[in-house]
Amino acid sequence: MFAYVLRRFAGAVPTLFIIVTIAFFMIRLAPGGPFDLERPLDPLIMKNLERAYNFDKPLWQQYLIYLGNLAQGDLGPSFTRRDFSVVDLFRTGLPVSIQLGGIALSIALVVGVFLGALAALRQNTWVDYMVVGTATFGITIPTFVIAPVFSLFFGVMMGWLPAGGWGTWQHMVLPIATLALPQIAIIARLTRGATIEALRSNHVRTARAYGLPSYVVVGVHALRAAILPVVSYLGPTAAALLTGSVVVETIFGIPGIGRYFVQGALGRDYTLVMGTVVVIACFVIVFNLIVDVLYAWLDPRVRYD
Amino acid sequence: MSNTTLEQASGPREPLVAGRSLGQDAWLRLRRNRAAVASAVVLLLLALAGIVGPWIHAHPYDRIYPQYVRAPASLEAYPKEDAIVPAFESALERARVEIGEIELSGSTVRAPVSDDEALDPRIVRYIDRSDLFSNARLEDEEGNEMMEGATSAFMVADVQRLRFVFGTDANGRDLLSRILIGIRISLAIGVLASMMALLLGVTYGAIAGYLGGRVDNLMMRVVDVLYSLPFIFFVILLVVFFGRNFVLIFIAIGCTEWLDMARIVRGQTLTIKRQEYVQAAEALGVSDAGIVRRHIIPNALGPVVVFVTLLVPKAILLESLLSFLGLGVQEPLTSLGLLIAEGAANMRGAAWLSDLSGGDADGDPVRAQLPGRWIARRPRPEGSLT
Amino acid sequence: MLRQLMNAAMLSAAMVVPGGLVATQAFAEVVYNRGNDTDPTTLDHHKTTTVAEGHLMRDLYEGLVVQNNKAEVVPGVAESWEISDDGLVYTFKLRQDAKWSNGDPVKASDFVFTYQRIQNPETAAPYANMQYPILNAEAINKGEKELAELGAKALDDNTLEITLNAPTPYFLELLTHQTGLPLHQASVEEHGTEFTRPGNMVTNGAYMLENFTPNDKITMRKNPHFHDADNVKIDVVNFIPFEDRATCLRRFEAGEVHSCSDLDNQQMDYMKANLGEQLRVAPYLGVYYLPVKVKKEKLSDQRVRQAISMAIDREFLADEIWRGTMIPAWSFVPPGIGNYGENATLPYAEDDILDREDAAKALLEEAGVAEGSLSIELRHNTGENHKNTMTALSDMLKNIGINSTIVEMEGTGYFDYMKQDGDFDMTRAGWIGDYSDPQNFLFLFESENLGFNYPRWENADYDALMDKAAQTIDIDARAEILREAEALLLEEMPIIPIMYYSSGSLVSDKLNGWEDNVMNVHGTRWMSIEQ
Repeated sequence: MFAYVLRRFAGAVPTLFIIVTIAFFMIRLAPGGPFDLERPLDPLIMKNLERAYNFDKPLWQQYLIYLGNLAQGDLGPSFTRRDFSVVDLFRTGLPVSIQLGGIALSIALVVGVFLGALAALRQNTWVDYMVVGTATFGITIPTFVIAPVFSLFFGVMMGWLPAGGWGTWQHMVLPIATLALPQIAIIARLTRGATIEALRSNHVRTARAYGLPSYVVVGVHALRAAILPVVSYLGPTAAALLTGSVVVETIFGIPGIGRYFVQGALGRDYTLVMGTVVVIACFVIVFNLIVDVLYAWLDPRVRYD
Repeated sequence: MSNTTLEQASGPREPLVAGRSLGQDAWLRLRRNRAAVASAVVLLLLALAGIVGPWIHAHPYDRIYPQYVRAPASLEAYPKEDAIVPAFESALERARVEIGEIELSGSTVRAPVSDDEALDPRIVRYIDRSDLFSNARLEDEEGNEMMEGATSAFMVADVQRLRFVFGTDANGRDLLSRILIGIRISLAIGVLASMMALLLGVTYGAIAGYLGGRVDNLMMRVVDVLYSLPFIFFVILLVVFFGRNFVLIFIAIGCTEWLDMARIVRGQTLTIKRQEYVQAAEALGVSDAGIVRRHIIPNALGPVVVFVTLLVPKAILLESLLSFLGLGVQEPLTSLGLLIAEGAANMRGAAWLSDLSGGDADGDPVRAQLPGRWIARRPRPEGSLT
Repeated sequence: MLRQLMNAAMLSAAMVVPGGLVATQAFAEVVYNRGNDTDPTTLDHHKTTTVAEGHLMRDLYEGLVVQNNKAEVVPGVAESWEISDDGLVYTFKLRQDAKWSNGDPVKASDFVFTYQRIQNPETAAPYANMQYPILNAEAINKGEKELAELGAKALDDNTLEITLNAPTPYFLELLTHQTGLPLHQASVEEHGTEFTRPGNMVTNGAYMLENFTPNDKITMRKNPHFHDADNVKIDVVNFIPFEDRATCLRRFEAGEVHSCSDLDNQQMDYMKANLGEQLRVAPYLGVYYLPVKVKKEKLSDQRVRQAISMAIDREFLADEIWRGTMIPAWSFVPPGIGNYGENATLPYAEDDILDREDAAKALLEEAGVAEGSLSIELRHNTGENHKNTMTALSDMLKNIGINSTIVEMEGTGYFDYMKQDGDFDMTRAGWIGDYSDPQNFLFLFESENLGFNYPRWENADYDALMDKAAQTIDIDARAEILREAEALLLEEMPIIPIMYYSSGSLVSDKLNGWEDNVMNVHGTRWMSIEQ
């Protein structure tokens, strides 16, 4: 297993390289540049700007410069936020996003698995219907509806929590709830389905036949198998949650990195977009690796060879 | 994870047992579950509403009623009684004639008009133009057509009653018709996204998981790459190179929605391929393709079906992002995602916008999920827990 | 487990209630939470372009002259100035007590350094052309002349002399723009591009930078060395970026911000009904217009363009689609602008829409366009209101027998497309004036101005009029020439003006000193907060 993890880490470098290369040229193919604002600039001034940022060089040369800097951990200056380098932006934003996403993910995992397992054990009772019904709602109502409703209700009407902003733990409650709800719903659905299947499997029946207490049967044997699809789902989801949500950050005014991707893309802030691509890629690669390792641990039959 | 299909699945015994196929089995079970049948019926009705609704509904989805911008939802017909006389007056004022007392009786309005010169019969268009009135005409005292050259007459018009059960949007278009057309578009998108995920995602994941080793590693790294690429630029480039095209919406959504599915199926496959029945099939010399098709995919379907139901609402909402990038459906067409986004923006300005479209779009994926939930239980053992 | 969960939920609910109350009052000092449109691109004002950045710069720096809360030009660092008779030489007398936030005196040489820096090609200042009226500025920016040749000289520490290329009646107004503000030479030279960082940044305005967290807030503290510090009543300003206007509205209602710099038009009805005097809508120097690609065969006839203009029900757009946040426009230069007087106006401004439609149909017939034969594409950038505007326009064109389709585009690509002479029929664009002078609007459509002249309209007479106006010293004669140019623009109609912008803000009734004005400038130093 250790060799496998090492191999995967070695494989991450070419993967990252391919991602960076494709993304670099893809971004440059899009029309417009970082200096194309609603009010166009004087052509002369445009030339000054392009020279200052190396845009007058051929694209391949810019690519090599970028790769060189990337190898040294320098993601370049941001074009839309010129007081900061891209690394600066992530240094302040990433901890915020990880904090929010991490808490939301943990809550979603614990509550989702608990509810899903509960529903599976009480299949076709009112408990089951409640869980499934609520989950269905959680999945179908988009965050851009939940977030303003939360802010409006708890922030404006009730005044219990801040309607937006960042700073204290109170500011985190609503965004975390908004992030966690749909994930709770999805995880509950996945767990429920998988648990129902697992309860009928041979090893669970065997465990029952041995007369093991039912919480051991369910908690150890059934859930261990049932959680596999959840784990698969969690890989990309964790990467997405920890790198921030545009909608939640915009609506609650949170200084995470989720907004940079969209702000950067729409403002053609090439370096910022490349930076987010690199960060997201790292998260995706790492989390998918964790998932694969977890898989082998949860189900000893899984072998990587 | 589940060996329940062992009986049916292990190859050689199949021809001997006159069993039901997996499909028949599922169908029978589905029919027995009332909740699933009910939601399938609702889904069917919604599809029907989306397909034929826009043709039979009274208001075309792109018809603008300038006088009814943001009219609240109401079962009562518009115009409201107390709005008729002022509207008539303001329309008449534009004709620049002297106006007498306006009287309203039933569904006709009547007002004496006069001018220094002969009345121009064309002034009726000022009334006809209003969404509130139709069939405007100039009459004399007795109700006959006005004589040519008369300087005074009666302007008579019928009140046009319109019903906006769901109210109207910011441009004065009937929301019900917009929701109907939105259902049509969004259903198409939802169906497509799930097809794409099912075909591409399931096959890809199953192959990667089953073959394992290098191939699996390579195939999964491709998925990692696709996850990480900037979707917004992908969409912008699609528009730049291929122009605006309805088919591109499907490509853009389809291209992203299969990735999660591929990972989930691949994960399931990793456990399934170690099951006894797969090993048995291998020992019996069943081809790789046969094993993937007959054993791996059917047994991985549980999470797959649950996940497809999650994909549908996701795809419908993703489409609204595409519209903002210039690739989604364009005016005057609309989709449920766009309607929800508009509604959310209007949350307190015109609450019925979000209530109705939001409510409906919620309903739609809900329906989509119920049969899915039920099919998800398919690989079911005989007896035991139900 | 369930019980634990419930306990946790109750516990957190119990903590939330007092917590929310505590959060609102933490400081004894007067804090102003000020909503802004977005974060700045940079705090280096030589590299800024937007109104949102202008709000920040106005608090951080004080120019030679400043705008008070009514947007009138009043003395700033300069306590007095003289203008030569030919209007070319301005001599500013700087006040003795003007200080930087580190205690250094503000010297005339700081201004010279700053004005040279913005024209230096290496600075790559996007708005360097704002200060092109200064002698040799343009040549320096092109790299043709040396920095020292700029028409700005320090006669001594407290006397600054600025020489212009041509008499420019709006020059003082230009100096209030962010490109006219000074920089602290020593700190800029010491820190290079990092001079804008908190700790490095030295400013001479009423406030100084304390902290800048992207997407969160920019915190400024009262500058103790500011010469008028005794009259500055607010101790701390937090500029909070709100890309989502609805978010600002919610936080405004929750009492978390004192003002919002823009309104969510979708919720106008709600705000009108519930916010009373706190909702401010004021005329603004901006125009919303439709460029028409005049080169295209089907749109090359000016009668066709006039017909389209006639059929547009501007009242409907302004009142119904934009919920009263726009004003119907019948000219390109907004009313209320300086150095102008009466506007040139479209002749059918007063006519009823139905009469205009008849006239439009007649014009189309005259131009040989049969009903239903002309079909055009309406293109717009992403935005709910733009979309609704185009949808309504399309319906209005249908009334005179013109068919249209609507195409939405993502913002950056859209402006690039228009600038690069994209193959459009009709689009939308907006222009907000930088300074209060008609030249700032009319120069957009000079033939050479390829960046702005989206319709690619070329008219030698128009160019000649604009040149002539630039050489004219007498304000009234100049206004007359510019009016002629505007009349020509409206007659040929390469662009169809449809609405004037108004500036919308939410201003808490606790916040005093916020005066609505046509430039939408609101320096924090003029305001106070009631506790």
